[in-house]
Amino acid sequence: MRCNQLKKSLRLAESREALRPEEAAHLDSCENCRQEYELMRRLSAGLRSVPSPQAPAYFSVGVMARISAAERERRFGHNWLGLWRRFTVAAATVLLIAGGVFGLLRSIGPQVPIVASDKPPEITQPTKPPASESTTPGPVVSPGDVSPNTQPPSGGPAVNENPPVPEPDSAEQPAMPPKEQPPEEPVAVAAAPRPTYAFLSIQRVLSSTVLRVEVKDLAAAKAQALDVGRFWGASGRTCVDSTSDGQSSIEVLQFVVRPEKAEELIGALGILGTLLNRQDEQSDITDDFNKTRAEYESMVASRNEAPEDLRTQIDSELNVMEKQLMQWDEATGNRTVTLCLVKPF
Amino acid sequence: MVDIRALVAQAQDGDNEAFEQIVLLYQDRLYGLCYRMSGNHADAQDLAQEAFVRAYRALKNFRREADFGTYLHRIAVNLWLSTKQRNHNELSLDDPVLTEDGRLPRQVAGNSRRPEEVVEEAEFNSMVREALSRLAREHRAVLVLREMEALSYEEIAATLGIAPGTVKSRLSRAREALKKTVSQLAKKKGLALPGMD
Repeated sequence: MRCNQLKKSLRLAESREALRPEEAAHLDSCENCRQEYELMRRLSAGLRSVPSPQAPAYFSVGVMARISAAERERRFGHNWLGLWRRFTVAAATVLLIAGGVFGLLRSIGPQVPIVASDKPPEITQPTKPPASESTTPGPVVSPGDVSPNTQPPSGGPAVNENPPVPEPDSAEQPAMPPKEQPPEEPVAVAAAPRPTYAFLSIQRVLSSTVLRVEVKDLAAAKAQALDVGRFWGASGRTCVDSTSDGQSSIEVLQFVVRPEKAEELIGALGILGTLLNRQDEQSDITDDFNKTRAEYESMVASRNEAPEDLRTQIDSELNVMEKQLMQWDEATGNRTVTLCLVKPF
Repeated sequence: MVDIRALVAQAQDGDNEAFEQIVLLYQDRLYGLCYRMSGNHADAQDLAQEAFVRAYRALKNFRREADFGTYLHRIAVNLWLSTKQRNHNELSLDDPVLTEDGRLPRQVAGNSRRPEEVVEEAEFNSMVREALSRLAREHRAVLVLREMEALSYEEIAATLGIAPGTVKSRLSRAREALKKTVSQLAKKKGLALPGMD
């Protein structure tokens, strides 16, 4: 038995017992081959020292989200992705949260586009009673009933002085806006007054979390994120325009979720890729909200008395303000999670 | 005792909750395999999730008498072998022992070796992991399946879709390649290890 013959056998012999008698005898008599055997044993031990970690939290959620996205893509092709890209940035809309996000992201990374889309958000009207609580992921609770403290504008024949607490299906609400979302295009009807949304006079503190996650496929990650958001009962808004900082492509999505589901949603979003950064903050926007609301109500009154050629312009501005107020209203008492998906070039 | 065959049957009938139960049952084992192959968590997660997605898509073709774990293994390994090399940092020499405890105590605990022996062993194991990350994927796969997953030659053959004889020869070449790479790394660090040429 020569050394090079034994060394060849040693590559497959995983114990001394696996050696043939002549191989074992050579091993006993040859220091060189004993060292080779010892080395192969140490190499095996080294390989076995590589850990086998457990799957991270929410792994199965990520799998099911990927399956949903794959199924949707299979059924509808890529067209549904194009829907999001048709929305344009509402230049006049500056979300306080987004403003905080921009400042935050400027300090840690690239410029972030305005998140709001001109697609009306899926928000129930402010006067609906809140949805019942549930321990399982469910819809975001809508704001509470109308408070008698709201100040309806004067001169608006369609708005009651003291609007009663509405029933969801009540027909006695001529002053309240229809359940469908505010009109996207301003309607310049000669004598049609514009209905006014009413908002509660309450303290408004916004809790927000910004996540920055590096991914390999932006479109897939965005689809997964929206699925994950739906799973945890979050209302999700997608970014309207992707952007880049010269080094990577970026997509931004925003979710509003019940506080008790927030950490689970954040955890699930964080594992869509490599979590680069997480920042949490709280902002009291009560003053800003009340100023905007006062301006909005005043502008509605002016609009109803303005000549027709000016009403279109005023309606356009009112749409923006309504959207702003409704987004703030939805965010109050919930957690806003802004997800920045980053794909390096 | 979970009846995996029943879950698979339900999943094949379109029950997604049953499939999610399957994911929960196998996720740790599959994630561990993917981590050991890819060497980092980002790729491991991507790989493992994609393996489950592909398993889901091919469920209709899965024969219920087969072992679902082996089926998943096969998908994951072949997926990994067929994907392009990623740019993520793979296991590096400086990585500590990646346990939940994090560090050397994993090796120190339960043995009476001197601290310097423990450090030497940790350094050697680190070189082995580095060498593993540098091997060709075919060699890495067979080493992971044999040394870490402790699969038999027949199971490895079924996973890789090759003959058991081919498994042995590939394993032999893989170990030789690992030994040579570790030797090169040791030389670079100025270490002389017994048995190194």
